[in-house]
Amino acid sequence: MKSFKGQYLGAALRSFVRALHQSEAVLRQILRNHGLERIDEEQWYDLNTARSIYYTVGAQVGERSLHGVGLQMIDAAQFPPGIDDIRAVLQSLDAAYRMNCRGPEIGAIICELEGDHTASVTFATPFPCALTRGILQGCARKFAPDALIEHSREGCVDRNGPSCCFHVEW
Amino acid sequence: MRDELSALLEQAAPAIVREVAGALSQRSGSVYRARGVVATGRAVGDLVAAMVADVAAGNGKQLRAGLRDILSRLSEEAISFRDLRLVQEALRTDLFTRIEAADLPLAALRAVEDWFHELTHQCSLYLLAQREHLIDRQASEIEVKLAEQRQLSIPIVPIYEGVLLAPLVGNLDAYRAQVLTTRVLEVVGRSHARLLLLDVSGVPKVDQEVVDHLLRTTRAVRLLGCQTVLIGIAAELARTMAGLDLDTSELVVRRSLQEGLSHALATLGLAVARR
Repeated sequence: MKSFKGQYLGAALRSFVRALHQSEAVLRQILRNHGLERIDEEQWYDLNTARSIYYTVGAQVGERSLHGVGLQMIDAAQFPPGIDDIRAVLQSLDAAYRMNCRGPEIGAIICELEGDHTASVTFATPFPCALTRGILQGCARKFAPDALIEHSREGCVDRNGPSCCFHVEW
Repeated sequence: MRDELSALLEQAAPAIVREVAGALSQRSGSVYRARGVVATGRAVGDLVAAMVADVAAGNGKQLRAGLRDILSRLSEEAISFRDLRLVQEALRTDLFTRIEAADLPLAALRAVEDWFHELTHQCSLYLLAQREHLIDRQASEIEVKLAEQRQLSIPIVPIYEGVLLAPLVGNLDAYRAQVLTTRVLEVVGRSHARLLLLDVSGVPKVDQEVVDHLLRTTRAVRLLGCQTVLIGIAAELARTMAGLDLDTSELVVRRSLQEGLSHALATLGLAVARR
């Protein structure tokens, strides 16, 4: 697996613990395989450890569960004042990402509002597609519960592409 | 035009609600019949109120803001495609009949048509989101259960003092092989076993990574003072191992569980005698 320079905040990484709470055994196994007993919310972890945990969830449990990890991450997140609609939350994704991930090789999230009720969001980040789709869906659902997220046909990080682009409609 | 249309809609709203809700609550197998005419009337009333406000404002704001709540109040479970189609058809038929009878200009028809277009769009998003949510949740639950089963389906049982048997059945993927390593080391470490009979006769297919895991498990187990005996290697597994150019000289291999047991007893200095 390619290596990236950076760090990832425990508070975000803990989402996978919450998402897999119904299976202690699987959870413990994944943590142990990464040399961890627990995840400290205030600690910064090596970006590659965080990536590996997410990719392990995808490979060993499944992509829907990894998508659930992304949803869970947003469920637990607090949004600052002013972020009170879907347009605002989509535009704030990159800033929120930088509060949870730091370093020279963390990439970026680019949001383009296309119309009153549509946007394109590109995740040029080193995380698996299902996780980013979950994060995006979680954000969208906060303010538009029936928002539809569709993956663009152009490239996917899971197939060695540089980014995943999603079309959001609400 | 818009004032004329709004006036018509406001004036006709109570009759529209009464007639549409009455017709819908007669439809067999529908959520409207299940919930009854009063609840259906409330839902249709809310929809019509949103339409009156949106047509007057020339947008679909009220519909967008309220549709989900309207449908949720009508039913805790997701509304079906048919139910959504029924309410759209009933409302559309009623409204256009009134608009045509009032001889309003084409623009009035267009304004109402735009609102119905938005209603169809929002109903589609609602339906897709509901289905997607349901599939995500169910698939995620299945995935976790399968992952757990993969962990639990590796029994390691003591068959004699100091002898453990681990019968592996089914496909052994990298994840399961990893789980096997962890489980074996746990059990061997706890039980201080001297011999581990790893029966792979029930494993139809393996790849290089899995063979690598098996060999690593064997080595790790030896560090705990326990010997691993690989039992029942199938032709394909033998082919995979032979093709990998691995050092298998340290492996103790027996063809069957019976031979494995004999080896274990011999190692422990025991023998089975007929009485």
